[in-house]
Amino acid sequence: MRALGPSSSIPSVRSEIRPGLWLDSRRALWIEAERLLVVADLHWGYVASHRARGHLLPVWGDDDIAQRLNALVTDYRPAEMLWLGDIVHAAEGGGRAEAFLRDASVPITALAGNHDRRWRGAGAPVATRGGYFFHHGDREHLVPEGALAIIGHHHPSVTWDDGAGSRVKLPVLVAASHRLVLPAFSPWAAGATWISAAGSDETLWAVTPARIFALPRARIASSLVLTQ
Amino acid sequence: MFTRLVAPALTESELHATLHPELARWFKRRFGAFAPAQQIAVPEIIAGRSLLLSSPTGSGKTLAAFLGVFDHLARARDRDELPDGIVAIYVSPLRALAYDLQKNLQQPLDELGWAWLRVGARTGDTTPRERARQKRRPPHILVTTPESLTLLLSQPAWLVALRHTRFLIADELHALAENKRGVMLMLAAERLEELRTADWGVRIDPNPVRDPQATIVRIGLSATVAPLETVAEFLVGPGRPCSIAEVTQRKPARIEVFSPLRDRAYPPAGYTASRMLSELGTFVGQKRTTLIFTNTRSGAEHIGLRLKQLMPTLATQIEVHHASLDRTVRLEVEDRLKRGELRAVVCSTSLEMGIDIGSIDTVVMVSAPKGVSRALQRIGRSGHSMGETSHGVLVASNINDLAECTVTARMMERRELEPVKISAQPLDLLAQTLVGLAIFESVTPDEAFALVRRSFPYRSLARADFDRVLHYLAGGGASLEKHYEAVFGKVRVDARGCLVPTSKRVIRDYYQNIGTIASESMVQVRLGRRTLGQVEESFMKGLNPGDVFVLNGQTVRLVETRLLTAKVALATSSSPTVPRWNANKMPLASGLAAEVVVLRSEMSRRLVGNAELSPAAPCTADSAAALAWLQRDHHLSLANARALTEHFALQAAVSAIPTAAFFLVEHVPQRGLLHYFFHSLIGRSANDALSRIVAQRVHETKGGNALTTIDDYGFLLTLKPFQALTADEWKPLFRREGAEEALRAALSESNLVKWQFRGVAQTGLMVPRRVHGAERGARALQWSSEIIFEVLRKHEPDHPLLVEAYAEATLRFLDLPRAHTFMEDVARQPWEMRELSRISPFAFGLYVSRIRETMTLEDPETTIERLYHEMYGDRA
Repeated sequence: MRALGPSSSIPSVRSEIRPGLWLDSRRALWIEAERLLVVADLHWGYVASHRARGHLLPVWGDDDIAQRLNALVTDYRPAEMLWLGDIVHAAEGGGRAEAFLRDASVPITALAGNHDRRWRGAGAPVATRGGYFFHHGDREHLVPEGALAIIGHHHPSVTWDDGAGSRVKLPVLVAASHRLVLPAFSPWAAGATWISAAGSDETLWAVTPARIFALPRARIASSLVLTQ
Repeated sequence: MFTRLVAPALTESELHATLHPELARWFKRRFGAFAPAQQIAVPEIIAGRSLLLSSPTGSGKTLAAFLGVFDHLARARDRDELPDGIVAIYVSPLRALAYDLQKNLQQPLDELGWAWLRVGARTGDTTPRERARQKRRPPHILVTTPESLTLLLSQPAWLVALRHTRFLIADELHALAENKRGVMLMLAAERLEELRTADWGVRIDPNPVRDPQATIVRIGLSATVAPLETVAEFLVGPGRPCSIAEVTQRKPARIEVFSPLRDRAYPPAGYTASRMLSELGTFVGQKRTTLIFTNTRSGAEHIGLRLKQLMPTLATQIEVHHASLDRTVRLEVEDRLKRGELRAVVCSTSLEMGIDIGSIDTVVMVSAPKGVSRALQRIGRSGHSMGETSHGVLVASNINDLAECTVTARMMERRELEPVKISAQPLDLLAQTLVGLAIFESVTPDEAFALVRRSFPYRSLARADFDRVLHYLAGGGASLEKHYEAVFGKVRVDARGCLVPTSKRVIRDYYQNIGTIASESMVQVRLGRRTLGQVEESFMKGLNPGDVFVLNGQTVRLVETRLLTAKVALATSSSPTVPRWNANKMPLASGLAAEVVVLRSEMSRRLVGNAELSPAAPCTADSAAALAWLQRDHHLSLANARALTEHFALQAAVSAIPTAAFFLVEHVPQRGLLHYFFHSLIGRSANDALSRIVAQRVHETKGGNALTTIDDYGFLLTLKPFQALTADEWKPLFRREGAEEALRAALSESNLVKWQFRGVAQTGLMVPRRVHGAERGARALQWSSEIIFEVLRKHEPDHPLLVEAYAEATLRFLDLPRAHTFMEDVARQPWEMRELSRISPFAFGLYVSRIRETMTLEDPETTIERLYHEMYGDRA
């Protein structure tokens, strides 16, 4: 793990989870060989959509998405950025998402997720780059032979509970031999507790603003019992 | 303003002559004479005066209220002026009570042959068909809950039926006054007032806000409550007249303290639990019906199960009753109790009030009831017909309990009630109310402000706070987004200056989310296809598959948990593995706490003389004086008195008996940890606040964290050696100045305010609980409100709902005012800091609750007894 240079306005760290694959604490995946920056589940317009439905949430979130995306672009100078579906939370998020796409300095490919049905800006549901196969993760897709699937959709997280009132919930990246599940990029997504199937070879990488760490398997098991 | 009625305005025969002849004849035939509560209350109601009637359960006060209402209705009929609308509204906090009452009213009406008088019940359970019928033909007497009444008042179509309302009867007012549901009822009452006085003219212009004059006769029915003037003011609103009638316990009450502790404070391990159970068994065996109160639901389950095991022949006549049980199970238990089919019911607080539960000979309270009002209320459930003797037994399960029960019994005899704590201007409920008023599109903000200020809870609401709530509802707030345009409020002020809803959906959401009960989400426990009951999500979270616990009197093993359901299997022969130590969550009332301090001081005087501050001298206890005093003044048995005396003598020998004269702090180093015990006898909620303040200051001065443990008698801070503090260093950490800020800092990272916020966000309609008729998944609700909380805390700390969440946490959940008072007191007192090599007997309870996590397989009391002997040897 190492800190990035001073170019970024938001402090961050990153960790190499596989050779050439870096997890950034701003909840993005950097694929070095392809110069590809991947984020999932942005949910633009989360608050606007809720407000339109009568929930008076504080007006906050879209600026945070934009700032983190811009900082990532500045830091990595990617050849391409990939948005792995659930780009908008509902139709109300279209405006902000489109504005960002229009003004972006790098090409952005937006894959369609289940939340994007009412938004015309989303493109194809799948994409292939190098040895990687990308889709949102809400539906099954045939993964090309030998490719690593990279998906979002699940908002994976873990919760630790010390039994004495302290409880932390952290977004995680789920790394298995055949696929990666990215944490949600949306600041409103606290995440859903990830349950590893019995006998799976998954490693969970927990993300905090200042630290990224792999969770030991035993610890995962016990913390999951507590939160179920 | 308030008129205390000391004697009935009318004599028995005058009252008979005053009542409508049909009613008077029926009453005489049916009951003969008036009960004292009726004789004093009925003339007031007939004269059209609002009245607070405080009298014990079973004293006939409900009938007193309805005699006045019946009289009014019969005379209106005679004059042919009976309105085709609601004349009297009876509100109860319990749905079950509403149904019971409807049935109970129908019987006299049948006997009177008054088929013309319609009674209808309206609660959340009323069927759509029945609702439609009520709308077509409104009942004359409506039996309802605060939520359903508010719902009716928010529907323009119902206003015509409600504008004749002449009587508002609030039952169980002592319970309502203490929570937001009571506040909701009082707001509804103000809206009813407006309806009566509104200018109806030819065309109905449904403006529910206009005139401040009170015209509705409000009748508050309450059990034991104090101070009566405050409750009366709560009932009628500030500045309005109200009569107060207090009918004290005429039926004799017998209150006993009993403890299985014999001679020793801590008997051999396992002794207390088994002895207490066999004593309970004896009661159940001797009496016709015994009602046993425990302070927790799990405690009720535990004792219910053990009693059934102890008395297999009576097992089918012993039942458990608490709020977590499935409603049908509860109703069945209530019915069987009423029919006299049960020998014993073990309940938590669920049978403290309400429904007539038939004849109970003895009320047993296991563990100190923590409050005098509560204890009297419970005891009132026995001898539940006028004239019978109430019999109550306080069973102390441990030595602290024994001290507490001893003073509780004394205070019950003296009827020293705790003052009620009325919710002050809850801002979340204000938001909900403003949405309800906006539906009529005819109320201005000024009128709405005036309306809520006429109710007691909002009497001193600042206009700035009101405007902040309105601003929130209008969709405003600190806009944190540069590009943000859409606001989407719920309520806005239109061109005419009236509050209006922004869309039809706002109205629909409001109708579905009226209410203030934001209880913790419950997990349904399913045994096969049957729902056994529900338990709190937090309880379920602490369990692992395979754990055995008790619910509905059955031992079950957890198989698996889903989001909101848990599957269990019967585990009849297994012992429960889940600890039940977090027993007494109810805080000790301040009056009782003060009385325990008096007991300690008195015992100290008798045991160690006046040299309270002498260094731990060998105990030259004159235990005879203490023993005699306990037996004579507190009616304790010799064995119980000995146990208590021994406990105090050991405390004096090991450390010192904390009294009103000084503040005792004990420091016990143990295996690399420093335990500091603070003997602040101010109740759990106040100690919770105080310990957080002090822990925060420890963190600020020494760094690191502090593990805090609290109970009613004090708190324990467990520190690392690098955080060691001397007596002089501790004192400034208890300073009053800045305590609020320290608590705020401590709370900012705790879950407590977040939990409060979840309920507040629901009540304040920020995140409605029900969307399109379906309950939102608890987990979805959890994460969204948690993030909202964080965002508001960072960016909009003065948001009214955040302010409300803090107020609830610090005033209701934590008792900050009481902690403040203590800090002021302790600054003037001498401090006594004792360095001890072992935990003192008075600190022992705190110490063991710290290690409760390790207690699993045995009964917690048994574990404590065992630990105690390990620590003090056989002398104890």
